[in-house]
Amino acid sequence: MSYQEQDHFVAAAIVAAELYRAQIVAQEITLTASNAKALAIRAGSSAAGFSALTDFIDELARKTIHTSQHVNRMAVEISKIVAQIARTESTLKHFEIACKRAADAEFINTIRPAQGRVQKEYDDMKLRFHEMVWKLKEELNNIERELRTGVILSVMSRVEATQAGAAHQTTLHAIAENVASASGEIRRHVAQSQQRFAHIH
Amino acid sequence: MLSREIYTSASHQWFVFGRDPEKPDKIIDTNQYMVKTKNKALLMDPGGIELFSAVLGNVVKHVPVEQITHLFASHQDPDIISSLGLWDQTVENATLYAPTLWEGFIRHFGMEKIQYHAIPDKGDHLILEGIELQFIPAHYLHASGNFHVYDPEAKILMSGDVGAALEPHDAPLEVTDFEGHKAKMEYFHQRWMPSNKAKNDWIDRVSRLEIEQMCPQHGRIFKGDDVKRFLDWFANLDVGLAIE
Repeated sequence: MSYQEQDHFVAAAIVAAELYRAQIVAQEITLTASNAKALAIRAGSSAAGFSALTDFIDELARKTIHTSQHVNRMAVEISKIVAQIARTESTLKHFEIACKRAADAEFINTIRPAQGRVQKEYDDMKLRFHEMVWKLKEELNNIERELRTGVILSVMSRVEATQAGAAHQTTLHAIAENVASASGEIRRHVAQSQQRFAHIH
Repeated sequence: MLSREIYTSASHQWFVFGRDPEKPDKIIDTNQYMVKTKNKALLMDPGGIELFSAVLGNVVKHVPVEQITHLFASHQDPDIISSLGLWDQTVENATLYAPTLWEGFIRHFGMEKIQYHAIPDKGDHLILEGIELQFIPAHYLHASGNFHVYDPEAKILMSGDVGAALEPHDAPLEVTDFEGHKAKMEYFHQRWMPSNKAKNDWIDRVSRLEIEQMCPQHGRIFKGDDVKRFLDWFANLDVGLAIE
């Protein structure tokens, strides 16, 4: 396996792992959103603004989970394609050696059709790999864009928590901080993933 | 890699490929065998990934790739069949005959196009353009699901690991001094073969066959009286050494 293929294997595995971690964090946000909603209902009119925000927080978390799962599946698919590329490349190398070592063999030319088939499979896989990497990068950019909403939501949550009645302020502040830190963590995982594929075109 | 015809008749030929001087040092040397009829060929224990190019290069000296219609794996070990994924991308419409016990394992080497013909424990046979090749049970010698190939017309037994010897890659292909050869086989059989009961059962069955050449997957080919000498020597050898 070439250094480049090893690098692609590792990149796909790291992205799958990073996005898995992002999903776990996003699942925690859905729980936070549901707790926040219950609390906002109990707080009544003094937390009406916060209550409206909880639906957005929940929606953001669900979108993040969905997109992360999709990207994760893409990373696994990329990993499989890289394995097929490595396999076909290795076969082509073996054919080349066989042709060199048995150049004068009576039926050496009968290897050519197999060589042609494997070369085509290799070229197709390379093309598929580049398409998948492009799509994966697009999806990562989508998550990143969605997460910018998370920053706004966390700022608004802090503002609304400040405006809530004193009895619930501390808890709502904690929820707002939770959303802010979870969004930050997911962004870090996404950024790591983007970085791993930045040099692969 | 050396390529030698070891039997020829109007109907078919046997070839052995082995002694590859370019094989990496730390991998065990292996003998690959091929039976060729008019339009078909059976490649037996085609070997590991590391030897694929050399074996393919030798095969096309004798048959076109499209005539490799059958493969045989005596058992599941990497030196026997880890090249399967490469053969799978080389041959079209081929069938692999291998123990039913190992199908789920052998498929790990990569097999999408080649068909798997599972040999049942009791054995099986293949007719290759009128030539009968029998798959003789050799379970526990050394793998728990294991077969040898017997050609009644050529009187050749491809005996897998039975008769194997650990030797350098430039050793001769045939046994010429049986007494001197025993030392090269002893440890291999005592350590790799687990069961005296299985060994004796195999000797009992194989002794009834007419064998002019016994062809192991490692080491040298036994011819004529050396086949009988080997069976006598093997009968007196205690195997399963590691648990004593």
